[in-house]
Amino acid sequence: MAQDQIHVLLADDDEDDRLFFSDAIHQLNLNTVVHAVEDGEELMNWLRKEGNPRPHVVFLDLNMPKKGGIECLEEIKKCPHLKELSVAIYSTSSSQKDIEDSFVLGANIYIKKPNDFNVLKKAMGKVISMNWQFCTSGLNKESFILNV
Amino acid sequence: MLDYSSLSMVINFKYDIHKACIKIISDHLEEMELSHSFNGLGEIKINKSISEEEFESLRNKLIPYGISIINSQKESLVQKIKDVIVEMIYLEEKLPISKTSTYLAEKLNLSYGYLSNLFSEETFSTIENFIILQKIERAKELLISGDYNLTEIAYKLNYSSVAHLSNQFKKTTGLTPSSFQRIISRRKANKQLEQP
Amino acid sequence: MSILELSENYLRGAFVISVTLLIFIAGVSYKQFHSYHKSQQLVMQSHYSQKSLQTLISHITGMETYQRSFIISGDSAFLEGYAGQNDKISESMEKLKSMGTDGNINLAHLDSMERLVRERKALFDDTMTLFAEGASLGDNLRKGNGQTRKIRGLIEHLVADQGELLAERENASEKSYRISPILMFSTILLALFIISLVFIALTQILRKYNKANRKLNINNEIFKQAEEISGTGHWYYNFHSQTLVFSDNQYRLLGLTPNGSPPKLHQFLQKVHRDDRTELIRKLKYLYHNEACEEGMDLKILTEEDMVRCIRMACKMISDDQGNKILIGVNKDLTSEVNAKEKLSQLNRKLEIQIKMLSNAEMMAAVGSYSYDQDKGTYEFSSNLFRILELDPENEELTEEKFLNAIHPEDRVRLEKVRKKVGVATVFESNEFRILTSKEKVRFLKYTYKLFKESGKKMLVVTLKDMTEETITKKSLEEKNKELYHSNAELAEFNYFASHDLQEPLRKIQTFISRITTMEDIHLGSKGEDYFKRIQRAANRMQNLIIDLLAFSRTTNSEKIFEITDLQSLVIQALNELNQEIEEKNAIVHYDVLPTANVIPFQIKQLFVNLISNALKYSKNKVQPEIWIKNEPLTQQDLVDFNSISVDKLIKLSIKDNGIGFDQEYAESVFVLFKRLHNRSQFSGTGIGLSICKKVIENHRGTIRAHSEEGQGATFTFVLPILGGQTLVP
Repeated sequence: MAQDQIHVLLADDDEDDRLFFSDAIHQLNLNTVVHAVEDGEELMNWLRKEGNPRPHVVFLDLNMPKKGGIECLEEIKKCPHLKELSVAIYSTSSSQKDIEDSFVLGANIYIKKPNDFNVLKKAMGKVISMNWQFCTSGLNKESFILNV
Repeated sequence: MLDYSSLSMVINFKYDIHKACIKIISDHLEEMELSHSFNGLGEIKINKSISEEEFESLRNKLIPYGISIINSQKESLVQKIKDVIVEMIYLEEKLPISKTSTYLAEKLNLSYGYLSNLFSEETFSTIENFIILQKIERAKELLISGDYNLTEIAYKLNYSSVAHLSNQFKKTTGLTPSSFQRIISRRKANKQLEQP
Repeated sequence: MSILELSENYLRGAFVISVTLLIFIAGVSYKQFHSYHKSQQLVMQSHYSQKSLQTLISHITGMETYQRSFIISGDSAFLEGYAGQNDKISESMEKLKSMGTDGNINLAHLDSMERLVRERKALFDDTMTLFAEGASLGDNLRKGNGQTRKIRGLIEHLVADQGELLAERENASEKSYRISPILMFSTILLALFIISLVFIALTQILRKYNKANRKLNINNEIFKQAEEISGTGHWYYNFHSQTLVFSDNQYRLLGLTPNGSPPKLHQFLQKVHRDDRTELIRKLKYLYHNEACEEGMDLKILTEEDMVRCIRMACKMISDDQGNKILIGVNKDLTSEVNAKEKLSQLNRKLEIQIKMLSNAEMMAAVGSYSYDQDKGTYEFSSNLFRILELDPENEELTEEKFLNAIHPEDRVRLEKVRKKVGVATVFESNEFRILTSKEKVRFLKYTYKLFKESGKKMLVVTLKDMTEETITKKSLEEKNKELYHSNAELAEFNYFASHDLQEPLRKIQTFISRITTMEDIHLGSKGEDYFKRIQRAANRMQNLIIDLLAFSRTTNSEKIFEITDLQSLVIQALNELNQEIEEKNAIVHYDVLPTANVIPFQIKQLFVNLISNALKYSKNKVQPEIWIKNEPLTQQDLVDFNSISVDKLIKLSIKDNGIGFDQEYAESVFVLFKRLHNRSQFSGTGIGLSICKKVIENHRGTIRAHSEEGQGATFTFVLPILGGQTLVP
């Protein structure tokens, strides 16, 4: 059923990470479509382009050329059409400061890129199902915060 | 006199999702001149049969509010489970002591095993997870309201200890309740900074 | 005074007159009284003599009667009466005679009366004899009658005489009576008048005296005050009466209380300091003999309180109107003047020393200065300014112009804009400029000027500090700081690089490994799997090393922000972080109620995390790990370590476990970076954790010690100053 497809959008400049990401999601068998872009600018263009499906979650790497994850996050939260999107930060950084700052700026999810593929799979599963719950169970999106 | 039109302000409010939904649905049904009654648990009885067109138009009208008309029997049952759980967590002053499984089975008059299987099939999640999620959501809400401390919240939501609640909170959200609180208050401060 | 003398004479005259008058009045009164008394007596006598004359006649008549009655009756009883009358006649006669000698009755009349009475008596006797003879009695009786008639006539004459005399006397007495009161009254009035005049005159004089007296009193007080204020006193010595008199202030000068016992000359002389006494006595003797005026001499006086007081004394010998020799002396207290003089000279000495010190200090501090007196228009240059300008203070002159010319040409344009005039002097609103010394050397000067008023004088003081050395040092220091800043920035960049870029490939290696090992369609064989596991272990270890190294560099380099923090909440946070490990090991952690302290919160949390995870890591196999976090009492050793901090400003905590422990021998080396006591295959770890702990404790200016025995668990104890970062401030 097309309606039940979960769309996720990933912005990461690292090819390997994009690979891990989409592999992990696909292995979850959650009827998920992964769209990937290579930097922040491309991401914003993708989001604004008509006809593109509205993603359930947007994954942002913090360190990207041209436009970083935080800039994208701020831009998304400022844009009236986009601010309802769930935003996940997908980063190498495990610093408490980065995590909190992202949440404060409006990110819903923070994923520290794990160094184990299985851990990544688990994390993705949790993120997607949790986001699904929030989107479908009438939960308060504003207090949706998840740190994996 | 201050020119209030040049000032913007922030209003904080509480809301009852259920009442709001019922009001929205009720308004739309009345607009379509359909007499109806609410059966609870997300069921509405419409006193006459309606055409396919009317049905579609109602479904479309309700989409912007995040309200969808459930078609399948299974979906409706899942929704009912969810509603019972939500009702249990949100409406009761204190959670019932009895096991939620028994509570659910009694409320819906179906075996818990069946409900559990159905729920997992339909939602990529389990009833237990859903309950935990809802309880933590409730805990978040109570935390944000600022009217309760962690001990009171733990008691209200039937946790054996604050540590238990903290642990579950951490497991579910990846954050401790205190860092959650800090993030929320910083967000509020941020918004207030942006407002003027 | 002449008026007073004059009036005194008048008064004397008036007094004499009034006294005379009063005596006169007293005399007159007495005389009057006396004469009145006399005339009264005379009147009485007159009355008395009349009465006696009457009595005489009645007796004669009585005798006649008794004779006749005898003759007629012949009764001898009548003879008794007859004899009695005879005696009474003689008695009256005697009385009259005595009166006559008193001059009251005319003696001639009295003689004839006596004769007549005697004749009548004789006639009576004759009759009696005749009767006895029985002869005729007629003649005799007739004769007797005639005789009695004669007597009566005489008596009547006498009585009449007496009456005249009485009247005369009464008249005289009355006359004197009438005149004397008038006389007396008028005299008394006169006396009263004079006395009144005297009284009025006296009161006026008295008033004048009082006025003069008051004035005198005031003058006296003024004089006293004047003496007190000027610190002078006076005294005089009367050689005749040997009395010494001090003025009030003289007492004070000698340290005595005024109005005390009268002083004696020898006491006074004893007060004079021994050194001056002989000279003073010599001078006094000289004065006594020569009556000359003596120039003042300075004396030291020992006061009662044994203080030495300097006074100047001027003496003079004078004679009073009675020719008595009086020595007068005036003293002035010079103590404060002498003291002030002494102080001034001391101050001068001090000032000299200070000036020397100042010039020394200027040299030491490389400071030179000059001052400009705005009123006099004069300059004064400190000797060190010569030195700064490399001029010879002995042989070269320094003027403001010369100084201004020494300013470095490159700085002149800049200084020209901030140039100001103070009188004719020049100042600059600038802090720093350079000069060229006479030997063409560049010097950096710090310049300040100050305007101030000193005892009404307007002064400008310019101070110049030679900053050449400091400037050079500062510049090199600045450069070094820059370098340090750069290397710090580089370090931060490295940290970032290490935390991100270095971890990235590592993470990918790890992820790929994890993918390969879980891929179902790849068969590695047991060796291949083993190798992959080894690769994985090495990668994990590298990651741990990177993470720990980062943590270590953070404890060293990151900002040290101290906050008042509840240590217990930090322990709880640490336990939350270690939740998973604690659950895995099924460990029990006990902790006390812990105090609050000023710490860097994240570092102390890190400390707890490291120590607790350490305890968990080195737990015994098959023994449930237990950890105790406790407050500890401070020991003598701790107080020695923190000798500048009081006991109540220190906290001591211990973290004890029941793990495998270590030999006490290693108690120091466990804190050394990368130092490990165990094989990696036994216990994972980087050897950085406890080094971080030590670093954290050092950042808090505390101490940390380890205590253990092989197999007996380990205890880590640390002491922290409660005030943390503030301990540097005593």
